[in-house]
Amino acid sequence: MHQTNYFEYHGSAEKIFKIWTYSLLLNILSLGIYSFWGKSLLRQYLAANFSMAEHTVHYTGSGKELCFSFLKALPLWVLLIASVKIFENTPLEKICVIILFILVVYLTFVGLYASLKYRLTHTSWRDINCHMYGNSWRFGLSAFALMVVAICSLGLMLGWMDHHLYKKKFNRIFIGNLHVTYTGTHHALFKINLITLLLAIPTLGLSRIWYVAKMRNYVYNHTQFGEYKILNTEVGAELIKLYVWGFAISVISLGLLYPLVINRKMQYIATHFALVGNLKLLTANSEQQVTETMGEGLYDIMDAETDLW
Amino acid sequence: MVAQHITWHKIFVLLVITLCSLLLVIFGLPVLAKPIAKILPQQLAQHISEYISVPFENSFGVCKNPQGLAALNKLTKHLSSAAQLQQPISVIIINDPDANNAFATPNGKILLFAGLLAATDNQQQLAGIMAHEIAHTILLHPEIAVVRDNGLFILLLAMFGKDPTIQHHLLTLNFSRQAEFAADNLAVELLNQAQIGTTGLIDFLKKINSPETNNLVNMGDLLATHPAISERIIKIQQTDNNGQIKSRPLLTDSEWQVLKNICN
Repeated sequence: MHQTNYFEYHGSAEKIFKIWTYSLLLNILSLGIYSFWGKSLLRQYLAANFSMAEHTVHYTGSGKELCFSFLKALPLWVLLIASVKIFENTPLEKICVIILFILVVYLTFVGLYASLKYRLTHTSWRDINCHMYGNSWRFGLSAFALMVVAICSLGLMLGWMDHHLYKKKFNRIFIGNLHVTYTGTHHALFKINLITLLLAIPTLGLSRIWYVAKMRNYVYNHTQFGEYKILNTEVGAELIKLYVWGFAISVISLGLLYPLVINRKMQYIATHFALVGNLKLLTANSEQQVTETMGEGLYDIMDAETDLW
Repeated sequence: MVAQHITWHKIFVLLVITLCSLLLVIFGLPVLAKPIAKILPQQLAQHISEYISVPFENSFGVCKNPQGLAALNKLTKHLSSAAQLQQPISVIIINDPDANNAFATPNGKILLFAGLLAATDNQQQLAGIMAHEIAHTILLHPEIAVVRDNGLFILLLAMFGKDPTIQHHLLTLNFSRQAEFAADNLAVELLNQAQIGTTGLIDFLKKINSPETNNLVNMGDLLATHPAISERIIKIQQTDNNGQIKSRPLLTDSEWQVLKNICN
């Protein structure tokens, strides 16, 4: 009989509000420079308040690293913008804008992978480090190709795309010395995607949130490392409630109560994720961790929001 | 414990410092903008002016009827000489019949749109509009706006990390309105020195303010940062002591007709 180990979240909205306000004010005063440190501080707090089997999660990422990765990615972005400016008001302008658009989408995927890699390699639990390998640039190419197919199929292949994206990400993760494997097939996601796409108009798009819950259910429940299985108990209605509530709170408070949204999201994650297996047998790894040099810089430049997980 | 050092007391102190800094930026930058605008190198001002005007010129074209241009230059020269300007004023007419707009760019370049020219009934009205734009140029409003608006935008962008367009627009709205009143004041002076009088300017403002012509003249874009027209009319009349100078035409009828049809 395998035991189910649920996450516990002990964070408070008040503390998140304090960190968030403190970071926002220092961010304004430092003309944006403090944002990297603020982001790290919040992540450290959220991780430190997540626990399983009485052991807390540790996030070791730092503002300095985020800042450097941003500075590393910045010249690439400047180069792209400059190339458009050079060809402004010339016959090549339209071609240049199209190329820029393609590159931005591609680089967003690169940033997505690099960001996940960075966060995972800086997360540990009971001295067990997470580790992710693989080339972000290559992932970007594959993800871009998958997206083109999904667009050409008018969204019908979105489930297929998600399946392959998760496969490419999850199968490159190590938790301790155990390799994570995703064993799902694309057929199941194809069916869920098709149903929710057909229902998207009558449900004013809410069926797509239901898709996200079902998709994550399927993907996480078909993911394991060693003898340990991930248990995901998300339900579409609850996710819709979380999204709608978060959106309403953010809009009504003009973003000032966003910390409440973060807190609720963390509670939601803790409630709906668990690990099945005997955790006492899970041992620490001693391998040297490889960190992502681009880190989240690229993702930051694309102005994409990244959470702790 | 993580972030244990963050207390409400620290947040309050930071909040006060931040608010003071924001107030300093919002009110300090416009004050600094004027002296900076005065020392703005002419080459840079010209470059900015081209950066603003060239897209309009390329998209719609410039009206170049030689006789029309001669009439336009005559009117411009007369108004400019009344102001005794050091830098030459150049007015170009952008061939966009749907745009009822006119604005001054740095380095003494004024863009007048065909739609606005078509909306004028006589040369006095056009002279009124031109005097208003020339006044903006004399008062260095385009240069000040470039320095102030770009400075504010960059600072807000750096502070908040997101596109601050809305906040930026709200913050600059009041300065734009003040500039409009100042330009009206000086335009009155220019029109009187040129013996044109303010009747044309007032008539045109009344025309665009009347409900009958609201459909004809869509001033939405132009007036977005302008004060209420009725308020402007009252202030112009007060400045002008209710119009003591009788209007006299500078252009002959045929010159005015050629100018009016410069884009045809």
